[in-house]
Amino acid sequence: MRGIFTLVTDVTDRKKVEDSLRRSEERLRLVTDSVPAFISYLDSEQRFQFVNRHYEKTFGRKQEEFIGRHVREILGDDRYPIYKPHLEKVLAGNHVNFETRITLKGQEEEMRSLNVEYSPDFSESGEVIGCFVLRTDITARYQAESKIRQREELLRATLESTLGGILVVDSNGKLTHSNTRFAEMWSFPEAILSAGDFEVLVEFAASQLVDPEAFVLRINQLYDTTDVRSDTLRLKDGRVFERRSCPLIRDGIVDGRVWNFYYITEQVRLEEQARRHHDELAHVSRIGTMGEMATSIAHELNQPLAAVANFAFVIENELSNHSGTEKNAEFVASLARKVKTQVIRAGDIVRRMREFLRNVESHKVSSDINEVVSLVEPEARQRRVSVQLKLDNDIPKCRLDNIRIQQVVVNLIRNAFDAMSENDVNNRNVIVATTHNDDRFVEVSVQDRGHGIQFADIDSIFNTFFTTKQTEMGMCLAISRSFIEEHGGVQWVDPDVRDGALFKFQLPVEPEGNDFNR
Amino acid sequence: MISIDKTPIIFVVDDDEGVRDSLAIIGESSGYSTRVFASALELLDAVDARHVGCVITDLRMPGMSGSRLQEALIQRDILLPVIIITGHGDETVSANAIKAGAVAFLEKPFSPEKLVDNIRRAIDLNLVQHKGES
Repeated sequence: MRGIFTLVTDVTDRKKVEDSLRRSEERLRLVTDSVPAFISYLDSEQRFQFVNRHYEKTFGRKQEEFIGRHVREILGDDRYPIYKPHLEKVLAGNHVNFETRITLKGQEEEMRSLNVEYSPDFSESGEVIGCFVLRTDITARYQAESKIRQREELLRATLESTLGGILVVDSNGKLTHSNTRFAEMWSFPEAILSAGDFEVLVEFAASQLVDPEAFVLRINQLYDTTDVRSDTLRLKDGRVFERRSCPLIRDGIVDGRVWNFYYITEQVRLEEQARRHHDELAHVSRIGTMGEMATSIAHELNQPLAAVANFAFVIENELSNHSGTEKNAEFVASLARKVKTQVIRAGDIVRRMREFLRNVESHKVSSDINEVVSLVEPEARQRRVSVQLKLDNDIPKCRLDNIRIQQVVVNLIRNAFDAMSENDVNNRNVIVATTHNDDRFVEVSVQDRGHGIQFADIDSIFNTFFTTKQTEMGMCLAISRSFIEEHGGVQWVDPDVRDGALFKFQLPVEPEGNDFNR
Repeated sequence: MISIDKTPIIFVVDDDEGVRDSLAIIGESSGYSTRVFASALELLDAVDARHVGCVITDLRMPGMSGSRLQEALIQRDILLPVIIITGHGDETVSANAIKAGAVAFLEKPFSPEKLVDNIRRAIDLNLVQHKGES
């Protein structure tokens, strides 16, 4: 474009020293005509004094027809007002540059975008005596820019529509994109975002984290790599984000990183709840056996106590009957050592018992038995049992210690599975069903396809020491019964089922209007 | 006449090593020779009808229980009196054991004096039984 100005300057010279340049006019015209731009000169009255050949095509007039005509006459009354203020400005001595669009009347109407430059022409005395006009077709550039703008808008819309908070940083550590959600998640002040300094952003975000060091360390580790990573961020306010990061690669070179942040607070909360639930279930399993443990611990404790009493008795006899001999002293000492060993052993037993003595209080809340039953599925899955749930969707609520009732169901499922261990793999499923026959009780049944229960055993099956298994003491059913009875319910085995076993228990329905502490 | 020239022996059966050891020491300090076994089956391998003395056995043991051991001894015509000791106060089992001929049923922890009394009584009884046979 600079070359054109040079040409235009030559035109100025021509105006100043007309005679000497008349000969080069032909040559000049050739040059200006070959330039892919509209070049013209207007005098101070806005009349054309020079136009190049491109004007011919656009306005449908011959070059010489322009000379001496007013701009308004050439452009028409409708378009002249667009140019008028610019022309007045340039003729007041200012450089003017503006863009406009025109419709070319060719075979098809075509919108073209133009960049128009007006440069004032000053006389030696400083008066404006005319202006140089340079109009360049910027349609291609305009279209390209418009395409980029569209892409930019699409990108922005995409960024805004995602659920995560997004931050894009270039390789110089400058923020290039971020979405509204990102700003919201971290409560970024507008000033920090618009400054776009990544380090300031990181510092601001880190200050909100439980473990800021790990956060910063990960960023530094990743910055120049092409790794795609994700990690979990815990905020001081209890929220949890998942952070994913992937590199921005341009022409095979890492040119920044994209950071995504997702809210996973709820997900993490649910996972933790499930885990806590599972832990509590395991705890209840320990506690549930506590009654039985107490019995067996008492038995165990009696062993060292009996031994100690015996040793003490012998020591007493030795001391009163054979005291004073060297052999006697040695024997008594050995008995004393034996007493010590047994006392230490008794202490170990007591210590072990303490580990079982934890919170055993029952905690009943208004519950949906279906939910309580459904929650045993993970436990069942862990034990590779296929559990089929047949739930009564209309079931009334009960007041339950959910963990204990789950323990009952888990125990029954576990028993069912053990009873089916010799079955074909495809024939190992357990059906857990809920139902209610009236408004007083809900009923839960657990059915297996195992070896079943001998009729003679049915009465003793809930006794503590009954078991059809070798490995366990069969206490599960006894614990189940005590839990069910504690809820005011009953548990039994259906004696008419021949193919496998059908265990059932009933729990009382919660009285109406008793949901104040739900 | 077969003279009872055999020394009475106390046969101790208990799966708990500490208790077993203490029972043996009590027996020996009372002046009897004592043999210990960790299970009922081990004892059954070691005794026969000619033995004189008594058996002290725990009730609950892995494998054969104390009351089953009592039955097995009767089946084999072994007249050794049986003293049963247990960690559980189980009245039914206790009554059955006494009915089946047990000399005593002691609940752990028991008084050693009482045990020694029962040992002496059992051995005396056994000596009389053998004398009667001969």
